[in-house]
Amino acid sequence: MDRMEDELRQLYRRQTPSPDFTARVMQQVRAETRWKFRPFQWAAVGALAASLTVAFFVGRQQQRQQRLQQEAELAGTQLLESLQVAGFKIGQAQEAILRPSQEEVQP
Amino acid sequence: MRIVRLFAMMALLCSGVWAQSGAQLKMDLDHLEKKADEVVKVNLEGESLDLGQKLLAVRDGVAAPVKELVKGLKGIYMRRFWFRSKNTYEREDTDAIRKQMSGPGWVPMIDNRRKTEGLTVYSYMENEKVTGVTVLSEQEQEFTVVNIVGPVNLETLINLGNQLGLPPMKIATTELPKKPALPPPATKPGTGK
Repeated sequence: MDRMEDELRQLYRRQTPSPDFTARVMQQVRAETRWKFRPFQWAAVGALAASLTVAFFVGRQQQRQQRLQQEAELAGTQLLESLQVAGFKIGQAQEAILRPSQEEVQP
Repeated sequence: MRIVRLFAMMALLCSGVWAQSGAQLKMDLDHLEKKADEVVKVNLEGESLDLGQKLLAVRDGVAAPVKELVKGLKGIYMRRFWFRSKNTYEREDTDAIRKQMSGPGWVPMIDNRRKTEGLTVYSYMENEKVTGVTVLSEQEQEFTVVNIVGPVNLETLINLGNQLGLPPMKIATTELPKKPALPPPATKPGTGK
């Protein structure tokens, strides 16, 4: 029993830590908390980058399509309106020629 | 031999360009633009015309003859000027346009003139085919010129003008003063009509 007590006392006795103790503990802590990329994480980052790239190009393509659509709408409207004006004027001229003048109608 | 081929190709290309631009007018109307209170300009050729043609070709509600008319066009140019007060512009202001149509190929189809107003339609003929039309409308407070380059079916064009009405272009302001309606034809007594 005495021996056991002696051993316990020996174990729990107050000791002064060595001067580099704090530095070693901190180094250990830093080593454990440092971010380590594992293969699946690299894959995830790669997939994210690829998705962003695809999204960028798809977006740009959609913008281009939209701009082309707007230009086509404008051109189509202008085309029809110009033809309308020309057609309307020709119709007016035709009507004016076919219609007898006021002098001819009145006796 | 190569040089001859090159010259032949250049001549062919140039003849094509000239043939295409024969019916195209130079819209040199900057001086009129300065006098006008409202201006509408349309220049459709090349890629922009192509886009418009493609859109109208697939669009519902555009009649087949109109699609056909639009398909063959090589260019369309329009200038419309509105003036707040009457007689703001002189006939000389529009001479630059009229002079171009005194050149070869242009044939006046309709010339309806009254005092200060006039409506003239010219067609451009190539190999006995209409490959261009220009409409010139002069009114006291409005001047309009539409230059269509390409084969034009006039019947389709007139129908298009009649059908669509042009609300956004204020077409009502361009109407010529209407004459009173003709009296009904005299009926013979006893016919019951």
